[in-house]
Amino acid sequence: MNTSEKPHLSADTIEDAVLERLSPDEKARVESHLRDCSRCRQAFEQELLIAAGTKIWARAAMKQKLAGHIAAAAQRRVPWPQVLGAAALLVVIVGVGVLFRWREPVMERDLAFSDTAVSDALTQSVPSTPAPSTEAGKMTVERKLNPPPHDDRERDRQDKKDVSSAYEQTRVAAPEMEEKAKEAEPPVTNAALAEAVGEPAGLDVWLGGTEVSNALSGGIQAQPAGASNQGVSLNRLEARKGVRKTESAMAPVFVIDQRARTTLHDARAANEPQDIPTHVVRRGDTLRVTLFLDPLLTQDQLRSAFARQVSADSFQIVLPSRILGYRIPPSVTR
Amino acid sequence: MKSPLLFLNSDARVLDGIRRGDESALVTLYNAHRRPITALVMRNNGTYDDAEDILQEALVILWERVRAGSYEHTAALGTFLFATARNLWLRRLARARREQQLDPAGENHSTDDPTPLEGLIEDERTMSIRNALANLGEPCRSLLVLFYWEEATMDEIARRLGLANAATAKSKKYQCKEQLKRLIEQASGGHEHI
Repeated sequence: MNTSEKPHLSADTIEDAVLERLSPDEKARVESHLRDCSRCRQAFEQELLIAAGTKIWARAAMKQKLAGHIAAAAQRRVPWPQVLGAAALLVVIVGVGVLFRWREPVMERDLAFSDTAVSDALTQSVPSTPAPSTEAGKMTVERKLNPPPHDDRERDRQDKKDVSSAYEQTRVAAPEMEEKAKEAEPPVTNAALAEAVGEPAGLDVWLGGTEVSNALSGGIQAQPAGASNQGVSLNRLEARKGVRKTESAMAPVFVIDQRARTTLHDARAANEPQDIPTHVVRRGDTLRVTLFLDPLLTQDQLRSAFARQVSADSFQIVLPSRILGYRIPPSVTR
Repeated sequence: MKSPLLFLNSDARVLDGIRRGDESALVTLYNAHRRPITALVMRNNGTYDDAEDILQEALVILWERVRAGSYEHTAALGTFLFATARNLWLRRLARARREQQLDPAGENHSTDDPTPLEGLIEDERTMSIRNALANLGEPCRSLLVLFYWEEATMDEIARRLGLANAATAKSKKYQCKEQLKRLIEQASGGHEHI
């Protein structure tokens, strides 16, 4: 077709065609013209490319700007899930910390006990101390460091019951016990006891123990103050007692062991079975308490025994089945 | 005094923001509809990055249509975005399939390219124009973007670019197009005649 017969499409018409602004009739007319007019077709294709390229460029630029806006908004947005998660974690950590601190208030004391005082007790013990004493001391230490396994619940429960009731009874009976101790003469003299075990008098102190009560038959179930109602192992109860305010600033570490009573030729012991001769020796902050018993405690019983200072000049030893009260002579106190 | 926009629903507020050129309106939409579109893409062999890309592309298309006045608010914006994102993703999957099958004839072209202009969007021939546009100074670039992308009228272009009137804007547009053509020819070493 001779294009000279028809005028070429205007630039505006081509733009409108590219941008689809034409009416259907105009669109049909333009399409018809483009089929026959190569020059207009070329102009249309050029316009199409410019429009498409511009659109692509604009879209890409807009997308880039949008990504920037989104990133900025994300930075401004408070990450609530993370914040809440962190807060919950913090609460759990603090809660667990408080719980453990509450249940084991003197963990540091236990550590100090095992690190210094006990090693002191084991390494600086009297040379003449018999082997079973050292063994018993070790067992006491082991008990501190390695609490009874959880599967031995029955024993723990029994020990807890014993210690709880024993503690309560002792608390009640302590003044009376001290009064009695003041009045009573020492059951045996230091010299006599020292002679009996072949140790020089004056270095150690021999005490006559008084059995305050029988915890098993007492049936007192009161918990010591601060004890948890949830299962508390014996060593934890013991640790609790350790931080109770005593009347003395002295807070020795007690190491308990035992020897057969038959090694002690104590005439009075036979007549007063409640009286348990006891040998106490001080090495630094450690008071090694050796009980002369007949029959001897089992290893488990001895392992669960503990001692505490109840006043400036008295202490008590709690065994699974009984509580013994002792006065500490001035020669032993610091 | 309370803004009357407070009484409009969220879609209307977003559309109003887009019409005013407020790009943060798209961020609102992005946050509101990110999850379903991300799930759609990721359930259909896409990655998280694909989903982000598709969603942003759908938002740009919405912006483009609203600004060009070709958007008809017949459904919720979320529905429009989801449908657009779905079409974009299907088109992308189809293209990937075509490339895999080495189908140069392109017989299985998606029907989502209804116009010649849309068909050129991914054409490599537009690459030289895009590069030339990047080198085109202002206000020419903005003018061409307003004219071709936002399909603004000459009056609006004059107003937004601070030109005297529509006639001035039209004259300026002609100059800008000529400048663009020169840049394209320079970039192609004079071989590409446009």
